[in-house]
Amino acid sequence: MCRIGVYICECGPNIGRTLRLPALVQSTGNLTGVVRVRRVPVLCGREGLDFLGEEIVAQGLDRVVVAGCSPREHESTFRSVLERAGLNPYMLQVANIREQCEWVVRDRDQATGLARRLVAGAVARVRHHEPLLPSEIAVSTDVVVIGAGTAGVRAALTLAGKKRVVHLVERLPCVGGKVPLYEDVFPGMACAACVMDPMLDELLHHDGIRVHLMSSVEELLGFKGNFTVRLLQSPRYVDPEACLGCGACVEACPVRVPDEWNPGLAERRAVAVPYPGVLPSLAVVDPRHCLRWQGEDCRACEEACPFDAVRFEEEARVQEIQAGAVIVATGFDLSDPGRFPQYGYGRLADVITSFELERMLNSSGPTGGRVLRKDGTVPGHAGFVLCVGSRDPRAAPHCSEVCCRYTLKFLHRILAQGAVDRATVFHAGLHLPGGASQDLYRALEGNPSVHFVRMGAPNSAGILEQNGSLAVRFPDEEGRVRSHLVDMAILAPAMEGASGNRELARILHLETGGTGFFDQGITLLDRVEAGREGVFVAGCAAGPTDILGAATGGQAAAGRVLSELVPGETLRLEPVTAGVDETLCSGCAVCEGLCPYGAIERKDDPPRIMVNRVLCRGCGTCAAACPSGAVHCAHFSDGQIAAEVEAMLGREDQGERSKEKGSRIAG
Amino acid sequence: MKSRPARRRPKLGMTWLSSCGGCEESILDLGPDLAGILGQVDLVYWPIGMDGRMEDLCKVPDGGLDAVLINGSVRTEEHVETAGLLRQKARIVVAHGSCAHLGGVYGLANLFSREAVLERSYGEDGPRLPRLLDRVKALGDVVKVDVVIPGCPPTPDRVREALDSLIRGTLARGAVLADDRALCRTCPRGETRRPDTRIRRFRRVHEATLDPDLCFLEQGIVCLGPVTRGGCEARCVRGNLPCRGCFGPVGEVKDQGGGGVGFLAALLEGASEEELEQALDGLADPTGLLYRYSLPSSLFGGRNEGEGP
Repeated sequence: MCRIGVYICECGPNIGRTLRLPALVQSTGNLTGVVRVRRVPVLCGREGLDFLGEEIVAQGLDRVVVAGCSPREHESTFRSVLERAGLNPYMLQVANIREQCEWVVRDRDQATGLARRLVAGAVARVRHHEPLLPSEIAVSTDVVVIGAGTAGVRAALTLAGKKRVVHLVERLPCVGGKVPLYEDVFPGMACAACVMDPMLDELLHHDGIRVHLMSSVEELLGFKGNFTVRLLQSPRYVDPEACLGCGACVEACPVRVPDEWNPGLAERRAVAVPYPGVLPSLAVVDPRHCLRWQGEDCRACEEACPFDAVRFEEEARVQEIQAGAVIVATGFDLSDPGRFPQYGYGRLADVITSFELERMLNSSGPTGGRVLRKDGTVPGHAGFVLCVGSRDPRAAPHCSEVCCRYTLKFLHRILAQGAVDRATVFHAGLHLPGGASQDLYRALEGNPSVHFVRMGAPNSAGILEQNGSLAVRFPDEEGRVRSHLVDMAILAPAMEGASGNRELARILHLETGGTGFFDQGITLLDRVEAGREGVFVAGCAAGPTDILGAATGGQAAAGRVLSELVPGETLRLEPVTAGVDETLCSGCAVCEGLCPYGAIERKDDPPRIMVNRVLCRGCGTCAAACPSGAVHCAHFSDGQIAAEVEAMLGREDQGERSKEKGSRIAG
Repeated sequence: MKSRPARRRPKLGMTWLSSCGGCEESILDLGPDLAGILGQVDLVYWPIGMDGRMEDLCKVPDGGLDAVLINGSVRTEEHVETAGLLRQKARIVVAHGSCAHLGGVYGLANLFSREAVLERSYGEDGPRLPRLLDRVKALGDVVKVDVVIPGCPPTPDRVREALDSLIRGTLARGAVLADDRALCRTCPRGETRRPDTRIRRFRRVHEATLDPDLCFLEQGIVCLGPVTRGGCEARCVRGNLPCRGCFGPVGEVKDQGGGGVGFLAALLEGASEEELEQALDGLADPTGLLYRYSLPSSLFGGRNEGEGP
């Protein structure tokens, strides 16, 4: 026979104005198994908690029902009282008579009747409760960082500085992201390579950081402190230990294809060292274009390599990593301006993107730092068109943050080196936050070679060919169509989330916004929250930001990981998990595809499933879907739920004392 | 159970209530084995096969039959009386077939009132019938059942198993003569089921060219294998037809159709309410499909409020 104590909390003045508590106390006392019913002014206060603990011992209770606020508020509080008083914490049931009765029902009789039902349900349920024991596992403090751009690298170095093992996962064959491809960076016009190279060198030589290049995350299982990350590494076909990046293989390769690193500007070979100064300096074979994958027996690169570094037999590699946290730092892509035909991008030869100009200005880039039109001549007049796609609800509603500032950077650079005679900036309001950007702007004020022209709206310009020049046309603020002739037009396309973000979001169980950024968890006080515990987002993956913003984001995410995952701490695994009765399971696998946590594995011979209790979060989806009744969820058994429902509906449970007169649950 | 001389032939009775005769056929399906089995039992009462009257049955002492096989649903007051009388006379009552086990196909009549059923079947001038109960019931709703032979009709192996154990004196109370687990476990197509498959539109059997080797659910065809006890040797599946659930739910599952709704909903895929509606368009007569054999013993069709035998 159970010894159940029921404690009705008055929640200060919150419960009892509508509810008739004396009637509730009386009916509760008649319920089977109830040996004690008490009203308590504030059960969650110190006095109330002490009282509850003393009652459990003094009354020899084996189960407790608390009628009061929502279990979301204080279930764990009361569970710890049970634990301290020597009871298993799961021998508690909370009946929510505040949010579900007192606060929502006006009629006193109705509210009281409803509370009686809830308490009767809780009492009936708690009779079926069983003690559950939590288990503990050591927390993993290793971290997976996805993306080796500015944000990812800053995060990795910050974490490694506190002796965390970092797995830096990068889709490309090199580290550094986009910045190493630039010549200089705003606002100080610092040399990009000078800023990045020492940091990347530290990264590549750090004992605590394992860099996984050409790799992607294929699966993320588990939860904060206990993730299992499956990585897929594509083959480089070049042994990184033997290759020096000398380029002998590149010279020998007979294939020529457009160079992604220098779009519209250069070709590359099927084996390539991505760009001059790339880190690590290693060649990579591109199987999409290499003749060996087109059925030809070409060995030109292999024969040319002085170090025998080419490995055609290499295969993709899968590995699983245990980690406690994941930082997503996948950066951004520029949207394709070809999406707006009015700009003529792809059709008009000298309409290029800002990235193409970055590559032209790079002293080790395809033009050696010279700005050239497609016909090889120097443009006299360069036009910079801002907000191509940005701030337009039909395209990218956001401001891309950096375009105005990098345009100032371009102006300084091209005027300094005399690359053009004149430059015109077509903008819809300049976004130049911070003192350094204003300095950059002021230095151009009064310069007769530079003109700032205001368009009526973002993303409203069009470009036409006119007598061998380009006519940039747009409505001005009064709506009059204006036209300016330039020799080259540089578009500032909207930034959007990196191309793989949506797929990665699916794998990581995160959400992306309409423009592909992981900005869904971000709040006013937190820019690294990703919307899932143990997963953080840093840099442009969370939305457009500048280099400093990306670096800061990386450090912020690393800071969160350092404060949340401490070596030596343990994770308490909730005992409320699913389990399988193998004598009933037919292995039909209905549950397997439903599990949001990948916690269900199918076994053969005989066919059946097993629940991995470390991965299971006790959501109960499998138990609800199991057609054989073979999967059950601890603390939510059919028996417990049925007892609660039946008691709420006023049905008698076995051995119910409530058949006695006056104890029927009021309707 | 009292021990008794091993040679004594067990006394057996068999009868039908509201039945299509298929379960009687399941006896004849024993084929050549039938003669041997009949030679080892003392068949006392079998109205469809031999002269048998109620008054003769009444003369049998209580507990005088070792076992009685009852097939068919409980539809009329006469069925209740017959079942009660046989319960009194037999030490072991066997629910023979889906109707006795779960209420059976006739149980779908529970979707309509008794009056509507009579009106539809016979119009105004119906024949004189024993009074119909308000609802069709399973045998277990009116008498205690000791053993179940599931199936519509039961397979010969299951019937032979029952009669063999009766002859050997090992027929144990509480047994359901079938597997403890769902059909998928023994289904020849079980391994072709992929956990990630989702159904965008259910198809009916006549709408599809059926792959004879692939799990029906993979083909978008409703198969109740996951929610149905195995033990039928997957006969329908081997005949390239999906399971319709005649062996009833597994173990502790109380509501076979509810389980069916649960796991089919889990497999459905659709981005919007409309897409889900479309997916369900292929599910004609869900009640008739999912509760085909078990409506009277289901949670909502099995309560016999206010109806006494």
